[in-house]
Amino acid sequence: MGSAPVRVVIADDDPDIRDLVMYKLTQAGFDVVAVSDGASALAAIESDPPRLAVLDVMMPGLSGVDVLRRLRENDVTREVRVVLLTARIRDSDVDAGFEAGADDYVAKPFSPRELVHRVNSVLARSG
Amino acid sequence: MHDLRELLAAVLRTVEEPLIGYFLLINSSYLLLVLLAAVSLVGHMRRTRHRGAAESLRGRLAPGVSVIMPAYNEAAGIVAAVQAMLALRYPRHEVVVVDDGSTDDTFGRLAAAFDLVELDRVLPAEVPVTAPVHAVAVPRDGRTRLVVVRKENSGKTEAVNAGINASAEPLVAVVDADSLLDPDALLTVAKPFTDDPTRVVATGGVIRPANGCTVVAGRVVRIGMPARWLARIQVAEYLRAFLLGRAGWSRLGAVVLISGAFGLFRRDVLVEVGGMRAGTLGEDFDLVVRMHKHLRDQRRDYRIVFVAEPIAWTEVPSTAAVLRRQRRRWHRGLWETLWTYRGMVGRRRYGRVGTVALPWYWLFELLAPVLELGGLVLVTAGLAVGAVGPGYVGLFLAVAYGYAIVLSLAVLVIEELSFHKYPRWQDLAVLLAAAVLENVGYRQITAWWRLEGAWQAVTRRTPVWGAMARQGFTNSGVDHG
Amino acid sequence: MNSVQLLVGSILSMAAVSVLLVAVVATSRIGRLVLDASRQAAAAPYRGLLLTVAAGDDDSGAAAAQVSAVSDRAWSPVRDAAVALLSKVRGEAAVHLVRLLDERRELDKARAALRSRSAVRRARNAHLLGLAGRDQDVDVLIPLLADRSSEVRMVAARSLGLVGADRAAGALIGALAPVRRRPGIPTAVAAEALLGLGVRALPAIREALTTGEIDQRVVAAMVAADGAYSGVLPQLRDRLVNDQELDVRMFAARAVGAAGSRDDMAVLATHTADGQPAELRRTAVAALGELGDPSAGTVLVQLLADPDIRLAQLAAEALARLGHTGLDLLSVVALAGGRSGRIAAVALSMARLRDGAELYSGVGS
Repeated sequence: MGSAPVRVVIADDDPDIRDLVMYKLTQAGFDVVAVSDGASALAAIESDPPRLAVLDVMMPGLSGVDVLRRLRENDVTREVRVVLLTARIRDSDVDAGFEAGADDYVAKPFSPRELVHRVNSVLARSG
Repeated sequence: MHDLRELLAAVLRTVEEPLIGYFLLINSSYLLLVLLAAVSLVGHMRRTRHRGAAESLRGRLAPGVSVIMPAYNEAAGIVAAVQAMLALRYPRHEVVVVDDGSTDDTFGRLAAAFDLVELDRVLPAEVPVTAPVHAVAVPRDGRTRLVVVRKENSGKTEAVNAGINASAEPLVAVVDADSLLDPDALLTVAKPFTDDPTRVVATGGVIRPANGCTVVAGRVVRIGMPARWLARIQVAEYLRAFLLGRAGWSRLGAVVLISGAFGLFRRDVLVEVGGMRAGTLGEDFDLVVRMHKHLRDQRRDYRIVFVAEPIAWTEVPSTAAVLRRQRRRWHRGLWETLWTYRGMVGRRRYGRVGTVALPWYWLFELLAPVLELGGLVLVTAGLAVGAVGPGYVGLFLAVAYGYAIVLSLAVLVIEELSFHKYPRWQDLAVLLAAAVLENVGYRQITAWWRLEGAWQAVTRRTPVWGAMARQGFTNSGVDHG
Repeated sequence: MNSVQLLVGSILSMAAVSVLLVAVVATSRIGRLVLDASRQAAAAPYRGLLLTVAAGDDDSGAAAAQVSAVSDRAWSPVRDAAVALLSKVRGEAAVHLVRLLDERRELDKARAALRSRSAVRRARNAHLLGLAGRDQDVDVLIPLLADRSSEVRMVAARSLGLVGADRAAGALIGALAPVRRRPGIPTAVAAEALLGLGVRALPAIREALTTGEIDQRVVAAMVAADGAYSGVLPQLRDRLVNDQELDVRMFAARAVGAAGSRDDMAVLATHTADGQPAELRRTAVAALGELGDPSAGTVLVQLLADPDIRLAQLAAEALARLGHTGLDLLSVVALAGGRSGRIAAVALSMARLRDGAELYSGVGS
């Protein structure tokens, strides 16, 4: 890794999951910004695009997939890598997420260690 | 003058005791329902943690739900509403919007937002729809589970029926286009269907006024009290009517009303009873009573369940003119339905619905405005001409309104002990004041409007649709009320 | 005089009750806020350590040891936070949280509480043992499937599904049968739990399909359908053809569609025939689409003209899932027009929309 820590935005309306992901990614050496809804996630990402965002699919207001779509429509945020976090496990939902441009998918209940692996491998792939 | 006084005195002597008795009875029956609801709420609250709502979200076998949204001139908020419905937490659901011949840009907004493509779909005629269906459209991605049906305007009941025909899932949720559902609303009302799959045929949840709440993208994100007293009083009114009245009925196994703003039904049973009855004003009341009748006639073992959680929000009238139209329409619908199903009253074959619930609605809902206003006029006139003393007037007011205030406050105690949805102290104070003020002026004027509705029902045949001026929920962070 | 006393008495008592009720509202709110704040304050210093445990970073158990050393007063909110976290994580994170709960003997207490007189307590603790996911608790959860409270029976079933021990499979299926006029556990709950056990439930499912009661056969077929268990195909085919119960046949049809091979096309096609119950026909048609064998095309094309519109639409959707053969057949019917043509055209355009192709020009008005 370079000198400055890699910036990551996480968005989840569940404070437990937000705390947990924030803790785990901070431990893994990332610079983490945590928000609790889709609109704030969009604002945080657009104001200073991070390398990666971890988005909960089911959030009040804008869902994670909605945020993702808007990121992909905007030149400034198109390159932000996105890992979706969701309790939905139906194939069609996974499809919808990937179609909207998600880089990876983690199902709740989740393994924090696995989440870090996924985040790292998405970042490694994107170079 | 002397004769009038004598006459009034004679009338009052005959009715003074029955009148007091009636109000004692109505308020005591409410107290009983309040207590019943409190008992079920205690059990409900103790089970929050292990009820397994989170597990049912992961459930692969949860029954699919079609959410039907009839929409007439809802351009202001339709896109946000549909997005919110699509984003509900549920493993498997589709949204069916029925554009009931809107004259505004309802369809255009949907078509633009979801990139709709028209399909030449044939709709099965499982429940009756007389108005022609113009088109069925779906999003171009072919995956977003949204279906928009465009039909000629023929009223809400037919719009819902068209939605039933166009829906694909075994459960059907009927919602108003302006209902705001909490993210877990479907999970909550669908749970009884999973827990008792062979018997549960319909469920409903608690609805509260959205006025004063902060709404973002079709979701209530911060709960607050409206700015106007007219709407504030309705918050207290809804709390009592829904949270307790119906939770109490659910405990008795005699739910006869699931609000049209949000209810969940088994699709096959809806088809069996022929869907919504065309032209009814109280179509939600009519539907549930008809389901009871049909299932009881067939001697089927079934349940209609009311879920105590507050899960849906709706904009209530904030002006007297609109409130008047609404209450007239409601009372007229109540009369129509009670009259249509009068044959069920008192019949043991219809269980507690026939022996308890429907008689209660006749006596304490339908007749309440007549007796309340009649009593008030009589007592006031009696006092004016000196036929009754201030003692009797005081007793009348205490039993009719004092008791009602005590009840409303008891409801607030239960709300505070259970869901405590209004976090600000200021809101709580307003709510307490509204519970008291409801009985001073509001009750009497709505009773008059309800009487007007009853009069219309008896004298006129053509139903008048009360239009509701919607403000729309599109502006984020704007306080309504 | 008497009525005045009555009046004054009733007004005074109503006023007193009103004041009391307002006071109850206010004190209950203050009480709740104070309690929440004190619980939060008591738990706050341990939040960081708890997250270490919940993140699965407590390999040594040092954080768990430190957290579990808190006072009894602080432990209560910490425990609730730990249980809440436990429902949201899996893997080593869950293992570490369970170890923390075990240090304060919470799981032993939960096992003991399964004998409580309160159904809510039994259910709550069964739920905790399910979240903990320890194999040794399976033997205390299984008897709860026959609990006198339906709520406890249901929670026990869900918990067994969460633990996922294969020896629970037979008990879960057994719990579907009513015991002494108490209804068995709901079919969906049993099926969900059995899916949690995965293929280890297969022997029990096979047995249920062959010798079980109606609900047991329904659940076995439900699970086989959702898990696409090909290990029970012979039994599923037999149920599809021979079962007395329509529900069992429907789930068996769905399961054969999900798990079957091309040999199963014929038997499913037979059940789409006119004269079979409408619901079974629809299920069999959808199952043919799921099976995806192109040789089903001819049967499905005929069904496009069926008087049952839903059946015809399902047949069109099934055809769209049969690859090129199905799509070609749909195109031919679509060109011919009529009601079948419209239905075929709609299925065809939906298929093209899904595949991201341009809108098929022959559709729409």
